[in-house]
Amino acid sequence: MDSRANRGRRPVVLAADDEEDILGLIVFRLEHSGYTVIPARDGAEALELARNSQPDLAILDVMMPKIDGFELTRRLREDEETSEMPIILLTARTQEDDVQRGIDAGADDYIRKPFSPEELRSRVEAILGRR
Amino acid sequence: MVSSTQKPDRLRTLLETGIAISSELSLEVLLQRIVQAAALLTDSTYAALGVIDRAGTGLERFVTTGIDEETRGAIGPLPVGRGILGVLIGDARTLKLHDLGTDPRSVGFPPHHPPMRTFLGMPIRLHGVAYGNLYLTEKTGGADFDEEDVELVSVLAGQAAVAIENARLYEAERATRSRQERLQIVTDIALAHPELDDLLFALLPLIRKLLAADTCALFLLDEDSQELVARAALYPDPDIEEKVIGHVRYPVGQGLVGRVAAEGKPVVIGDVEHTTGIHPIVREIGIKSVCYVPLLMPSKVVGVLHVGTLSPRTFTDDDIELLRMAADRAAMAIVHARLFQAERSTVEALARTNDELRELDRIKDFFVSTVSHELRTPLTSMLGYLEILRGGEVGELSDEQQRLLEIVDRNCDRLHNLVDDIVFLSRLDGGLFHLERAPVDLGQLVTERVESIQPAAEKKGVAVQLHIANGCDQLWADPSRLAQVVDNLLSNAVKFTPAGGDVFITVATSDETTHIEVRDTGVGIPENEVQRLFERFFRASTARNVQGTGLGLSITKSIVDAHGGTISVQSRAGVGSRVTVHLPLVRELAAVNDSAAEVTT
Repeated sequence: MDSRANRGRRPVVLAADDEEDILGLIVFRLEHSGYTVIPARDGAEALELARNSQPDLAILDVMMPKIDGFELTRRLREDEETSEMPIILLTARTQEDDVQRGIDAGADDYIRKPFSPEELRSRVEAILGRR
Repeated sequence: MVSSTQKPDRLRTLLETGIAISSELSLEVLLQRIVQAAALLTDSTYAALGVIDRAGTGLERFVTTGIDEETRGAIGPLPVGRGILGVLIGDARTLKLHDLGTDPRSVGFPPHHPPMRTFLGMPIRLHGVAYGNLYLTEKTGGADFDEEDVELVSVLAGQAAVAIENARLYEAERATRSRQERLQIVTDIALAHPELDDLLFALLPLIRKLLAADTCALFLLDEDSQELVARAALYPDPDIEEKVIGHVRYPVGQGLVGRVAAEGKPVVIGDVEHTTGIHPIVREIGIKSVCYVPLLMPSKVVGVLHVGTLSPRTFTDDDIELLRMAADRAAMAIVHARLFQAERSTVEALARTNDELRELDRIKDFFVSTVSHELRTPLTSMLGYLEILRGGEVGELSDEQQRLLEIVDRNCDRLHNLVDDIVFLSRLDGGLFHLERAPVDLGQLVTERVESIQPAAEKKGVAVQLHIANGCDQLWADPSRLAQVVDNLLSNAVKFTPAGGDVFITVATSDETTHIEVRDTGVGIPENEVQRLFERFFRASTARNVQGTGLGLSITKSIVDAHGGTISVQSRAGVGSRVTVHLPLVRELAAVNDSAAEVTT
């Protein structure tokens, strides 16, 4: 809680996606909407950043190299430091069961690709606002 | 050796013999008793009983008493057709002699026969059939045989005839039964081995044994080449079997095998050495006699079966008949096995095709899943950056720039919808489509969908009018799929209605069903095309100038079907269309759990 307070009033969001363009889109949207975004390009990097930076929220792509979004969600939930961190999963997969898998893994929300950046922003705001 | 006997004793002996004969004793024992009784009853030193074989050419049995083994062995074979025995058997007369040694008819007797003087010979006959003879010599005390002896011996001879006949009947019956049993085994084997190779492997030893032969081989007709090909063989040398099976072949009509097949009749070769048309290998094996029978089905020959013997043998009519019966059963079994094989290969071919199709389907599913993923990722970037660009966050856009980007946006949406439709159909085909039912306020759902399409409709100059007659506030359905249905119907109606036209959407609920009706004043659909509207990729002739894939109505129908509802279209070209969706009112969760309409394939 202290580390978060040290960053001032801008909430910090961890965004992980191996697609550079989509990562850039998330960064742009959220940075322009009053958030600080920490980008990660694979699951392992995201896990490390999540532990070290203690972001207020994590947006994780499901299909990522090294550690996929489901597994990453589970690990974050298991770790005491990150177990309360809100998580939004992103997927381009067609399996609708993925939604259930994501929820089972402990995700707070789930967004299908293609998504509107505005929709993403409002979901982030909804989660952080209600805290 | 035999003491003189009183009459009561004689009668008792006779009676006892009769009892013994009628009880179940082996023929050998019976004949021995008869001979002993004859010697005893007539006070003879020596008695003998000969049984002639069926051919009438020799004695098959010779039972004696009053003579030791060694002496008897020295007698050797007895002549049947000549001398004393010839008289007894051939003339069927009783013969009483005072001195056999001086009688000219004794010439046929073997030289080592013990010396005999008094002699009583009796033919053994029944119903005019000669079974043999019974004779006695050397009545004790040197007396001649008297009429009482003749009478006693004739009774015994009669008993012997009955005993021999019975024994022969019994043996014949047992042989028949054993043959029947073995033929039954052939049938059983045939039924137990649907595989042709297994069948032949089991069948041949059986047939060889049945005929008491040394070799057995089976040729099958190859329908294409019209050749008889050695398919199975049992020879003393397995190497020769290998040389024969699959290699020895005769065209129909050629060689003995070919001839048997062509004529459909058995052929018996008693002496292989002096017969043509026999494969040299048969002689190489050492086969002396062969019996060929065709393998016959009612209308055709399927092959040839033959058995052979390594020593010369005369195959009798009985043998041929037996082999024919075995061949009939083998032929039936072979046809059966072939049918089984044909059926199985058809099933296997179908299974293979099925596997291949399944694999293709799997590849298709994988392809669709991969492609849709690969398309969604760039679509995310395109749509996302367009949104930012058009939002003016990175600089104000001119009207012209906005107009052009709107076109890009619209086409990205089309691409997005197409990907979604293809994914939907792929899931549907893969049986992966499930409804996620929840309570739905249908009136509210339709109102929202109408609001959502209003901007586009207004832009086109089409008025969309909603009428909720009596809404259904608790429909148990999949809300997002139902929204997809309404969106589809509304967007079609707007799309095919020219500026100034109207689209009416009505929701009405009765006790049993709820229905959604979308009516437009658009271009309509020619009557003969209405039936095909729900086919994938079908596009009406009136839809040529309007963008679309032809997937929308097909998907809409699938969703309605999954809900257990119906969809129908009424249309007239140039007048407009009316699409009506009926959904059964499912209000309770329990009812849904029982419903089989959850999944469509």
